[in-house]
Amino acid sequence: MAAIDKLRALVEKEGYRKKLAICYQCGTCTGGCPVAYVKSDYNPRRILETAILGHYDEVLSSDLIWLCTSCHSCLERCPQRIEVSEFLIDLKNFAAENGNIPKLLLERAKRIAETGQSTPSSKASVVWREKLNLAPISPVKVEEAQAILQAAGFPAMLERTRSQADGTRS
Amino acid sequence: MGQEAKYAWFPGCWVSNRMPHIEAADKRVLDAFGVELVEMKGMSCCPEPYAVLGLGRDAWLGLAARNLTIAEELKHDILTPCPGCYHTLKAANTGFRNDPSQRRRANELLSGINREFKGQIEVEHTVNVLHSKIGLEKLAGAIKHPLSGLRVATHYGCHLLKPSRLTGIDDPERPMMLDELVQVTGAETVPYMRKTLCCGGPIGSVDEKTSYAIAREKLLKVKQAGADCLVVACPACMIQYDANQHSIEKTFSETYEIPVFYHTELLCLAMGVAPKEIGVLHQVKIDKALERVDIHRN
Repeated sequence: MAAIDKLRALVEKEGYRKKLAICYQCGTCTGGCPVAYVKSDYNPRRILETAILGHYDEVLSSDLIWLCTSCHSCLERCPQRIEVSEFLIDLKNFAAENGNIPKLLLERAKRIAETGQSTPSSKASVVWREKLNLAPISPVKVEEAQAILQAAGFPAMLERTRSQADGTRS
Repeated sequence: MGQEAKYAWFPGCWVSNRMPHIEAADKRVLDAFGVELVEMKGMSCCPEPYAVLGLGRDAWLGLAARNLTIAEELKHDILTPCPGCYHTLKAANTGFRNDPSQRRRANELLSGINREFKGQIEVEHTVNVLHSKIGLEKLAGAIKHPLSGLRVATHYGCHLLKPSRLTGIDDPERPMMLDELVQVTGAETVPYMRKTLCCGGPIGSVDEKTSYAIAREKLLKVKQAGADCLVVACPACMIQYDANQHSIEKTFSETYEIPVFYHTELLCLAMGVAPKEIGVLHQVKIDKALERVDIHRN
């Protein structure tokens, strides 16, 4: 199933619809959002509205969804207890599947997929740890981490996005 | 907490490889209170809530499950100094326990590497262990060099407190734990606007200017409050406020000059540990703040 159909199926699922459709657009999520405070075109209330109204394509191709820091302030403060920040994670997941991943984020994710670490050990970090009398960090069992990510289809998704991006550029 | 306290230690990638001085400070403090840390052999990235959870819940779930099984084999609860790792491991652990479908999926992913999630351990952050397991009274008894006169602004880190249905260790809007950990050193915590504001760090690789603008908001408020320094409980927030502070100053043509400490660094200093023993290698100069409490480097 294409990502857009998965998003439609998710939003239109009975339980999920109940969770989202009770949004009365008060804007508390946006009023307390650290991103919206400094960047006025980022507006979680509007993202929610767009999804509820069924404009799935617009939501999935948006650059703005990637600005959510997942601080979860909106989730804490929503008077209707809608988990806005968790919904944004779902949106990002579907957008990623659709090939919409910001370039530097894609690189960061690829590094984790390849090394099993977000900041891999380096010569400098090894020396620094020695100076502080810290034991060396136990090496990651990369093959185990990779096997799990592969089973979850993660590297394949990153690769698909990368080649799509290359295709657009050429 | 008894003398036998043992945890599976999960420092996380950033503390291990980018800020080991945080690990040095954590270990000095924990060791002083008889907490033993056991190495989690072969652990990977927790994985981080932005770049992995944001792109694929399934991948995030699988890697977290694997890390949890390493601690399960050791039969110890996990202890981490990083709210990002805390959030990931705690969310996955709780999810697997409460939601049979999540647990089934985790074990499907784990079956390929002959591992199984059993749900036998808990996940803790250093702030909670210091504050509520070791306790303020014991900490107070270990203070040899009170940091009297030091005015501190505290910053908790979003994932330590939110979602509160998951962490539940403190009030997400009016948290006090870190303030009390700072007060126990003899320092004073100052009230300031935007105390629970996100550091903006996670989106740095997507939109640097916006990420910096969010951090700027906090740094300005800390400065207005007249604090001598900012104390954080999260390595990622520390990178944003300390390592990126000069870039943020440049971006907005402003000066903040706010020293940033990780919470156990402050505790170490108050316990009489010499600065050089725990590294205290910061980007923003900390000497003025240290001099205020009569601590001199070298």
